[in-house]
Amino acid sequence: MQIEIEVQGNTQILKPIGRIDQNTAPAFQERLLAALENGPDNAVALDMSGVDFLSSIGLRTLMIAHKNCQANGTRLVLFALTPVVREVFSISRFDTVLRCFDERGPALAGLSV
Amino acid sequence: MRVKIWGCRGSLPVAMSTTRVRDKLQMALKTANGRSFATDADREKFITEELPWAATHTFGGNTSCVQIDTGGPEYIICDMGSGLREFGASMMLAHGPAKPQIYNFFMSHLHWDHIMGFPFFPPAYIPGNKVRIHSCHPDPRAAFLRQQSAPCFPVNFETLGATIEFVPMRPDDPVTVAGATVRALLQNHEGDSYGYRFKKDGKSVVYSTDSEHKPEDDATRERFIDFFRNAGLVIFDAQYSLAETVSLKEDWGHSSNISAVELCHHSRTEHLLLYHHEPAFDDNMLYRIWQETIRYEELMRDGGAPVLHVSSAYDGLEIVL
Ligand SMILES: [Zn+2]
Ligand SMILES: [Zn+2]
Repeated sequence: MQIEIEVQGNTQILKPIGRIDQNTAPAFQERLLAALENGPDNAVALDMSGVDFLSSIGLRTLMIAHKNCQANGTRLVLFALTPVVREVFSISRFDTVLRCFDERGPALAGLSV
Repeated sequence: MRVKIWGCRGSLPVAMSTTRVRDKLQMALKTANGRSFATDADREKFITEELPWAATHTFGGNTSCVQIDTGGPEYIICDMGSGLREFGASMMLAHGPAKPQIYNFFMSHLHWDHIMGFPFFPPAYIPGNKVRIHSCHPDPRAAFLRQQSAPCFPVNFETLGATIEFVPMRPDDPVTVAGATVRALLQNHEGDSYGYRFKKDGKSVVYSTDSEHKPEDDATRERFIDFFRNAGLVIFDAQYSLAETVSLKEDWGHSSNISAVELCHHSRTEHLLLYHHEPAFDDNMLYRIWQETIRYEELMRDGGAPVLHVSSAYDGLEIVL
């Protein structure tokens, strides 16, 4: 799976492209968890604008990421969810667990809070 | 086979509130839009054919109890939640006190919401009736003795008139009861719970409640996909949202509509029935969850795969396979 990475200070902005499903989730998970390894001084923003489909295995990856963050203090936000992914977040109530923003600016600002 | 839901609620019985009754009246009057009806039959036709589902139904509030009718003279019932009281009353109407019957119960587990109906099951008080309690738990009798003894209940379990027999069962050791082959599967729940698969004439019904599915547990997922495979109906504990099952309510022993759709898709189940509804949810919320699950199924379905039919259990619902 293609993932674009941009570094801004101690924040990594990850932009996965395409579907996060059975085939692509393992690679996505590996990259995401690696980015989350550094602890409280580190922050990760997930740009979701390139993800047009997210199956439950993808939700599971985000859940593992969320738990890792809770354990090691890394901060994680998501932004620019596509309509289908937004719908999946709403049905699964993941929108109540993960911090989601419409746009990049407020998401990055949200990381410092 | 025919399946009847006598109790669909999880944890604790609930009743519909006055507020929700008024919601439904609003919905009905809005839909009628000033029309008048000459006869009761006209009103009945309007209710059946024109009112929205949510205006004419309530999910109901009895705890877990499902009848599986295999067409033979013996009865099969999954769990003894508060819904068992109404099932028992219907048996008294159908058979009266003089015609002995055989009741086969399959116990998911012995938490109170799954046994609380038994003291209110009239056939248990009548000599001649046979009550067979099939259970994979080591000592189910203890739970029944405790429930029906002082100071919890005035009639002791040991004084019940029917012949009550506890039938030990083991997962992966199928039994034949009332013409159906019954297989059990260990589930993830505090104190263990068991799912049951009933097979007759090439059709299968799976009763799987009080069962937590952990997204990271691949081995268990495969066991369940195998257990559900090609089932005509899967009755599934969808008490919580996926987010709750992986955060606040992790290890509380229940599952979500998302896990339900995923397992049913992978196992090529024909029909999913959302079950063990959260007692804190009213009709509006349960209806919303049902519609969201139908949408999620559509979003997640592989191109070309058959549609997984999604229903939400309500007391009184009957499904024929
Ligand atoms: Zn229960
Ligand atoms: Zn339970």
